Amino acid sequence: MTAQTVEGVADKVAGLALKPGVEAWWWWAFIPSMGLTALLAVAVSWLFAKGIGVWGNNHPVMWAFDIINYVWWIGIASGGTFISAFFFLMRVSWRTALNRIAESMTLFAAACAALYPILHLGRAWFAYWLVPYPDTMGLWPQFRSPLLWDFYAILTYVISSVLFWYLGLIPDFATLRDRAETPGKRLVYGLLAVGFHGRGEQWRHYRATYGVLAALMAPLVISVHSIVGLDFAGGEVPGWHSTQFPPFFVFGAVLSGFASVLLLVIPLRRLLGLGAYVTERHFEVLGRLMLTASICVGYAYVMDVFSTFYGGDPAEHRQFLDRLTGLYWPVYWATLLFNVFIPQALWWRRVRTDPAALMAISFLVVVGMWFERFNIIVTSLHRTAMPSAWGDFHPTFWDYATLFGTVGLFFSGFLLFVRFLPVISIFEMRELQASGETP
Amino acid sequence: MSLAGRFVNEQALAAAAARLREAGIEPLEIITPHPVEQLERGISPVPVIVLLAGIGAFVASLGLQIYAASRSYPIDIGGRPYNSWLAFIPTAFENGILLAVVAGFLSFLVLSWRRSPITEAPGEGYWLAVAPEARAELEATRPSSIAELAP
Repeated sequence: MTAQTVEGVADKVAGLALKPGVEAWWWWAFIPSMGLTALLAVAVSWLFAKGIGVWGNNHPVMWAFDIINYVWWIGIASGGTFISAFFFLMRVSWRTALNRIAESMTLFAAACAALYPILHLGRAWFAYWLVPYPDTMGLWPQFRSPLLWDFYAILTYVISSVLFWYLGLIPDFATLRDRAETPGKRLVYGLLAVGFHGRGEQWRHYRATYGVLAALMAPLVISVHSIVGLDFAGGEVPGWHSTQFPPFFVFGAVLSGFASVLLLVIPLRRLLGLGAYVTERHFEVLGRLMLTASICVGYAYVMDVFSTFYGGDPAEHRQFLDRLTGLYWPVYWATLLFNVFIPQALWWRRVRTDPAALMAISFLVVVGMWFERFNIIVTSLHRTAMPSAWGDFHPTFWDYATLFGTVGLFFSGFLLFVRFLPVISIFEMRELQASGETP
Repeated sequence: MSLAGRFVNEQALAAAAARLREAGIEPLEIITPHPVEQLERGISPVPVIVLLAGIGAFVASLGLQIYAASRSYPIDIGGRPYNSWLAFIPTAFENGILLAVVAGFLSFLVLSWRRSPITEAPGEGYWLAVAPEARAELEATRPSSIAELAP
């Protein structure tokens, strides 16, 4: 590699962040996203004013969109951590062009996920009761409950994702500070760069810190999704009480995570002109990863059927037959179709390298994973062990407003990232190209 | 005032640093646009800090939960043991990771904040800074350019 191509990356990526003005496509994406975010603000205000009754949640389906959306978003978030932490530890070179986009996706998806546990409490102003603090009644949170484990898991995941993401950005903030042409930008990027100048000592601590943080993020992401699975496995509801839930949830999380990365990377590559760095090779790799995750999810679905009918609990059998043929049958069959059958097209290289096909499959997977959580949560709860407690769930306008509102929040945050921050890690690309490898 | 020589790539920079050290001159500062493992001198204490913070937070969290469940507010649930420590491990694990990550991040900030012997950053590229007395030796390493840094 010549010095010119090395600087090509820095010029391109820093240029995108520093250039004045915004393209039309950005506004076309940002304004609707902000509109949806405003809808979220209205929905949340209405929820806080009136209570959980504004949603369709009611006995026996006490968990519905709130928990579906929570699990869905936290699953999407996992894709970025997998790419940035696991593939960093494995020293995989293709990761470098994708990890910043993937990690930023994690950040905003985890932020959306983190809203729901607060929203679904009903009395959100008592959220601090989850923290063990010396209260006057001498009470403690129930440390044996997976729901409390989940609180600590999501707290740890959100804070660690923010710090890991920010740590990765520090050397690039230094580059932006050095290249900024206006004093305002120099000040902002300079503050964000926290005195980083690429000195030998700084790099020594940097490399060590990034390495250990990656080594912590990798088991963390597995533990977070396992604990989300335990939220359900710990409950005595037919369809939940299963030991396979922790790995099942990890499989589902990475499937939707890789799909979401593709869904963001493919349009960004074209819109930002990143074709030289994000190549067909990256689509190929992500396609393979999605296929692998899809097969793992398919295995979990098969085990779901097997363990239900291998066991002799009539409530479990009834619940499962209701999944196949009951009120919500289209959701179950769409889950299978979108998450297992359609992704099998990725066995063909032509599909894996065709951006349009990948977009379509990824979109269906993301929708399919939402359906899967609908199945697990709503379909299980509406046919519990006691027939006298059966009931149906019908979402309200506010359920949809909250769901699409968080989609708006996600895209608003992500678009701000795309506009103001380096979308590819500049220093890691320099390192990669200096070592003579292709990104 | 100090002098900074610019080099075309990390190999040239590493060769120059080795040559200066042979001549008995320790570079004041080496500046690179990305980490260069072969130029690193010494081992960073960050991993040890992270390990201690993680283990400390894990033990403290486990201890707090055991105290809460078996001393401060014991509840008899169907005769099960008060100290059901297995159920406390997930929370202790998450707390351990959180404190380890925060400790790692903060120790990086503190350690990388240290004052540099040079007062002006030369900018992007591969740089090696020496005291002004060592101009001849720096020139002998054939940098592509030499910059005089402000005092």
